[in-house]
Amino acid sequence: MNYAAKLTNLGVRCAACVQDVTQTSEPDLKFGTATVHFTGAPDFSPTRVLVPGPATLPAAAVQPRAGGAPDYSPFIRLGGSPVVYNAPIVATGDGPFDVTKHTNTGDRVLAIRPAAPAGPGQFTQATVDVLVVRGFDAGQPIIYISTEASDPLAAVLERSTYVPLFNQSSFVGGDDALGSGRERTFPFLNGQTGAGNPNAQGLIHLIKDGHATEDASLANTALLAALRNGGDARNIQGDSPTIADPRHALSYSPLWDAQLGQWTDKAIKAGLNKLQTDENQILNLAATRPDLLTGPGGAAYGSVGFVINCPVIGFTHKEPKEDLVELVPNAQG
Amino acid sequence: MVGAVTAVAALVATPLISTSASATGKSSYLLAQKKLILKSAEQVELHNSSVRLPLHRGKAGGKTVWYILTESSDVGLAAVSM
Repeated sequence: MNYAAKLTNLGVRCAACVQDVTQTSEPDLKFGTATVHFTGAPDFSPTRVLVPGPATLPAAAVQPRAGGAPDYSPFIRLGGSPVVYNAPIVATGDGPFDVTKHTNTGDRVLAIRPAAPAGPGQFTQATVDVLVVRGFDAGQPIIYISTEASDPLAAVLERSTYVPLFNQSSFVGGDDALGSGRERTFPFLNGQTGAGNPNAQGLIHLIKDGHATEDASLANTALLAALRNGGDARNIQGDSPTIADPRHALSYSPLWDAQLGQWTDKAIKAGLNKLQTDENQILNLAATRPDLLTGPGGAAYGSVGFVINCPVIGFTHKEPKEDLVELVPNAQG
Repeated sequence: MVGAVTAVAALVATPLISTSASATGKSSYLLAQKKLILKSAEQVELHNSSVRLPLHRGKAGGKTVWYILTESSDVGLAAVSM
């Protein structure tokens, strides 16, 4: 697993953000895992809806497929232990599993393989194939998964479970501050668009070029082709566990606090709304050129409040080790 | 500072997927294991953009649920737990 010390803080001011679970095991178990008993679970049965608006965003209609029960949280603590784990529920029921319309699986579940029969002295493991997201950290392409979001539109775009409870997680704009369980992410609202455009980025790009209105499945080859060729939002993560400086590596949390950026008309007209891949470059822009980069609707740049649960999986080129530039004085570093 | 927004030339030229030849000579889209950050991931298949993860059976309200494990707040348990 990834180490995320900040998970320890998720119960700060939001006790329900961490689900206390129990565990049972069979008395004749020879080797394997015990059964975790959750107090709440997502309901994957609703239809996922995304209808773009006249200007793509705001959307004309949005409905996440999966809503967590009021007491659902993927962050669990086993009774008697202070350790917090990230354990997203990705399917419900005893099968068969619907990996096309996702009526009993998460929207990113592409395949489930039950554990093969195990003979004496053997152990076999069930597996799940999850659609990854392509983004960036410290200038390098990374991949991650997305499992929960606290905003309806984010949940639909991320193909994740809607958990509004996480808006109370500690705390909006907190990042590395005392008591924070969050790490920042830097999505863009209105980057460039166009399938195959190397500078394409952002939520509007995802909707226009990433088949965001469609269900993901192995049968939807057009969607898969679009995503492997740059159709994701191409968000930028704050700190990865791979960063050389422990101060940043240890800052990693899968609960990403969204810093939604909007390019100004001036930036767009000047052709400056190009692909961004590094948090410091974005933060420097926000601190020095508010005429080019703002929050949504021209608001001050920074946290917009919602979070997404995005465990990092790997990198596809070079290991993210350090940000591309130093922060300028007074940047939100 | 504006120049920073154009500092992506190398990435623009980098293909979003990489391929490697398998022992059979057929193309493989599996990400090299050394590029996995989440060590419990069995494989990442780049053509379909998927990661294969261990899936665990649990219960909620008496019904079966299936979950994955990705992070731990304890560094030692993160290293050894699957």
